Amino acid sequence: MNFFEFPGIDVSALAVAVPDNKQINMDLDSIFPDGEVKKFCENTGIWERYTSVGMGITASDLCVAAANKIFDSLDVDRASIDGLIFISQTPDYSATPTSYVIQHRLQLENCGLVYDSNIGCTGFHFGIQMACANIMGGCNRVLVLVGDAEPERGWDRKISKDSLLFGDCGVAAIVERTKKDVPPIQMCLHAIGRDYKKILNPYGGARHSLINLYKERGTEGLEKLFVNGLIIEGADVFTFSITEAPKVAKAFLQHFGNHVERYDYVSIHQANQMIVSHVAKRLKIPQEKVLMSLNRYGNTRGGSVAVNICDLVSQNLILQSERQFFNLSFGTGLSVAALGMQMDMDRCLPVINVKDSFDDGIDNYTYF
Amino acid sequence: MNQKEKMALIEEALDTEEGALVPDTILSDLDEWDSIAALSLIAMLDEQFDKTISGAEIKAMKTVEDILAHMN
Repeated sequence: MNFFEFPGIDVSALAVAVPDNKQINMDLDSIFPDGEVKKFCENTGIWERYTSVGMGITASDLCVAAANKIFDSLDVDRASIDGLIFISQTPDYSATPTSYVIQHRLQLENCGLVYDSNIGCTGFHFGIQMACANIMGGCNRVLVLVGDAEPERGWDRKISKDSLLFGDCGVAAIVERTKKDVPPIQMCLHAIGRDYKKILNPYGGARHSLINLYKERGTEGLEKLFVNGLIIEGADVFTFSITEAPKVAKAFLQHFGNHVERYDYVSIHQANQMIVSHVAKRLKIPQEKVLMSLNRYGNTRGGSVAVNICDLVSQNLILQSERQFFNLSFGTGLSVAALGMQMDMDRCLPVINVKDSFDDGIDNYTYF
Repeated sequence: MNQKEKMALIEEALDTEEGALVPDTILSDLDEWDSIAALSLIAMLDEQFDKTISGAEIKAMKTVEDILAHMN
């Protein structure tokens, strides 16, 4: 477990984009045995989510739209961005890094520090940590993008029940050096690598390649992968979430001498309703401080704590001045992350919907 | 906590009718015994008894008695 404190650094803007395509889970009722989807929705709390299926929209498209919204609405000079981090488990390509395509699309000509990172549900926390560390090392203003989207998940109504959890989103955050009097960004990161198999996408990488899967099992193997690619050991992941997340949250609060009272809002990773409620209960967080958006956005993975915050703005619950947030995430790795930060609500933008995908001019016959 | 109270907690976690379960009830015979019930059970054991249960331990449970064994 590591603790970090970054004084003189501000998360100065936040935006979230989702595909302009709402999927109501109950509409998929006929794919599964009688009553299963309703029971799933009641227990997970996930009734609706936004998905890029049929639209070809990727995580980078959503992140670019969110970033453009910040540049256009909040008068941030593109030339002032000197760091770009794209965190996703669904990049556009395995090579080149998607962040370089994004740098081109956003016209961030003065940005030399450009990289991708593969982090799951704790992606937002890691993005803020990386940005802060880069600012300590010399950057002034870093654009952090966090997002995941799977445009083929659920295509042709081939979908596993686990997939009904996930919504697509892209987050953009500006992290910058500041002379303003802001509280330091505080963070705790915890890794449990021994449990790497608990949430795993086993096939398709270098260790268990698509080619080998195809050679041994033909298209049947590829079809199974397509529907059930992500393996989640549900009971163990649930136990991990409701025990380790509160443990890390308590360690964070104790280390920095903070109390949950200090925060206006607590944004817990929107894994599912049972987990969020249980974690909140264990930490004795008053209900009114706990943000919930999963009923409408699903589990949006690395971006979900930011979806919560921008959803708050979308709902006009608060509009102005600074608020203190305690963000708590957990997921594949296994990884747990806690983050205390201030946000100026004037610079948090309502969630936007995206219709268009980027045309890179490539099709399935372009190169061979 | 007496046996009756423990049985009530199990019935609540598994979402079964009141009085539907006895210690000998075989879990796999219950329509309600599914992955969601397992999560509810994990949450209940954590909340009420401060017990952390793994997926393997859940899979090893055959009867209601096996659940009761964790409730002390």
